[in-house]
Amino acid sequence: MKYSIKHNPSYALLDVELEPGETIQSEAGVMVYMSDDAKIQTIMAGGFITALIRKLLGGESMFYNIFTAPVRKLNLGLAPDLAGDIKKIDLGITPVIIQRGSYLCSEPAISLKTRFGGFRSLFSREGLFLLEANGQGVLYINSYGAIMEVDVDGEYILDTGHMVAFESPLNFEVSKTGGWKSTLLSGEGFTMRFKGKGKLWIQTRVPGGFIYWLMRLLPS
Amino acid sequence: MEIQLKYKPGFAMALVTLNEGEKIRAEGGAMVGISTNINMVTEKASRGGILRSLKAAFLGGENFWMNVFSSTDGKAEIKLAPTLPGDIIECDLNNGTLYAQSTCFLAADSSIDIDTKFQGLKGFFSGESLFFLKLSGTGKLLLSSYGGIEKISVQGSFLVDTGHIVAFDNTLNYQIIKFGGWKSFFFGGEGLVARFTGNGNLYIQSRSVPEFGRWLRDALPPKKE
Amino acid sequence: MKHEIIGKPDFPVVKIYLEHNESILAESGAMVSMTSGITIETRARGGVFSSLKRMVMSGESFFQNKFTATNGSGEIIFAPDTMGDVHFKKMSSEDIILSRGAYIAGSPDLVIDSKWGGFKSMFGGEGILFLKVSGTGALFFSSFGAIDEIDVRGECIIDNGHIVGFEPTLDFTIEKLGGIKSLFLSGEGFVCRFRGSGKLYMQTRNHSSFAAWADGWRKVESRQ
Repeated sequence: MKYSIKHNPSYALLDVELEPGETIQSEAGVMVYMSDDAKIQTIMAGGFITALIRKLLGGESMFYNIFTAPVRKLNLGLAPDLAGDIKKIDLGITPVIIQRGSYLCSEPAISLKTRFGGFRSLFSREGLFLLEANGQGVLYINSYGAIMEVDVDGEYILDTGHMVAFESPLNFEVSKTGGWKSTLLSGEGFTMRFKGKGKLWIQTRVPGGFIYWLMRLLPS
Repeated sequence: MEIQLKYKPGFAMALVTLNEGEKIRAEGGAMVGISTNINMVTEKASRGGILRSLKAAFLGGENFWMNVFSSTDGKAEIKLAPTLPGDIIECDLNNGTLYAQSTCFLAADSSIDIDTKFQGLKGFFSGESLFFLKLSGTGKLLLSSYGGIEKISVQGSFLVDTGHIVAFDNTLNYQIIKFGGWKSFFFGGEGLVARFTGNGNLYIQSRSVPEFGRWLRDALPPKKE
Repeated sequence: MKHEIIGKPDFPVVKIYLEHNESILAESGAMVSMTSGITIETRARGGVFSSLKRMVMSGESFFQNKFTATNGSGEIIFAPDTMGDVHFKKMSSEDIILSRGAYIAGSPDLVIDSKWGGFKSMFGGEGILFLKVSGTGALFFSSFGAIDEIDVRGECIIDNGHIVGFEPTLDFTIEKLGGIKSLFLSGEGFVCRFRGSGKLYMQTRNHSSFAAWADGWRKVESRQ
């Protein structure tokens, strides 16, 4: 299996080369191109009930595609819908928690579990669910805007919309930004306060912010 | 005519230097800035009559009118950029033909002929405006993409999501097929894809315009009629 | 106050290192992340009237946030809402004119005011007022697309949707390009002709054209 990321950070595309028999799982709808003879299988994400709840509540995709190289090498191009970056995570002992919309693809030895995002999801439009990735292998995440890696050791405060993924030793709680006046009027609303030691991946833009910018330019 | 591409690949802009007598035809609205010795004339998109231009405008999605820029005195400069973020590439046509997704056309030497290749039912089936401009002749050509541009050398056959097509050589043929089996077709999130066959170059963009548009459609409040 | 602009030119952010008791002012919603120990204070800068004028006339947010490092030094990251570049300008008792919504953050000593662009800018459709930033300190502003910095000596013609900012030593007029046919059919509309000597900041994409394109995708609700 060979990977290369092209056109990053703004319009990143992941090129995957699979040897015969090798398999990769991706989010539905991210295929850009592929060799003609790829075998495709579409599966439901995390069982029917979870998939349905997710679709109804979060408006998120219910399905994953599994691509398998037949007798020949397979070339596959994957990219998310929005402008932005793709980042590789080598998954080992430490599980990684991913914002649902930021999952792009993963090797078959990685299992994904859907988790309710908790209290924070009530205050952000960025999706109701988180994915917990476990296992050994390579995982790719995507972002709106560029991805920045932050090594948290102690405390770190993040605007909720900018969260992409974090290593599970980190914990967060949602808190208001400054006093109540700032929480209501600052435009920052609630923030995530991370505690512990581990990697945190943040995106440099928020889709909601872009829509807000655009709406001010549109005729009503 | 000299072309310099700046700010690639995210927000590319073309800096075109024209010698006296040279002309460049650009999509309406593509002009960013000009030197004071540039003259602009607004003309129909295609040569060869109003019907052909109408066809280009309504089927190709390109502006019916295009602007032709020329120098009035010595060397003159013009800066061109597309509406969407993304890249620009320069192609040199040498008595050749290239099919370009209509929204990807930015500018061309005024000697290059622009025609609309009507794709018939193929285009409608894909649910996306798959209309191609047929660009032929000799001269420089500027194509724009939403996202980065990838050049793929097709030998045999290759599948591409329709929203990612920028342009292809006329030695390639394509047909619209469904993605995988029936379950993948309905639930795999891809729907229909284009299968290219033959030998030649295929240019694709790393993001899809219709996908971005559909995302905007869901995210923006509706407008009142 | 030190800073670093990371990830130019497509989706950059600006990281600001604040010393103990140092402050920076930013547009509402610009904060991405920060270390703990930074206090946020939300206020209408220069009073309610001034803020209202800036909001209505120049597209700035009514409230501004003041971030202060109150527990030793701290780090804070800001980003604009739009895709595109972030620029730094070191101001030393000078003025700069910015277009609507370009301001992101700046030193507390900078004075920000709306500037009447005259009737000419009404034809440009780019907002009635510009923003005038004056004083001494660090200024951060954003563009839609990459930025093309032009040293104008004499004359220069720019499509008006591409202007980010310019030095007040430049003067401009709004003109039409081409003949009468071009006025209606070219898609270029009006352009700005700048005269004088000074810096002009131009963005490589036009936010008005982009908004018009995006508007075409919106759902239409019929009036019942």
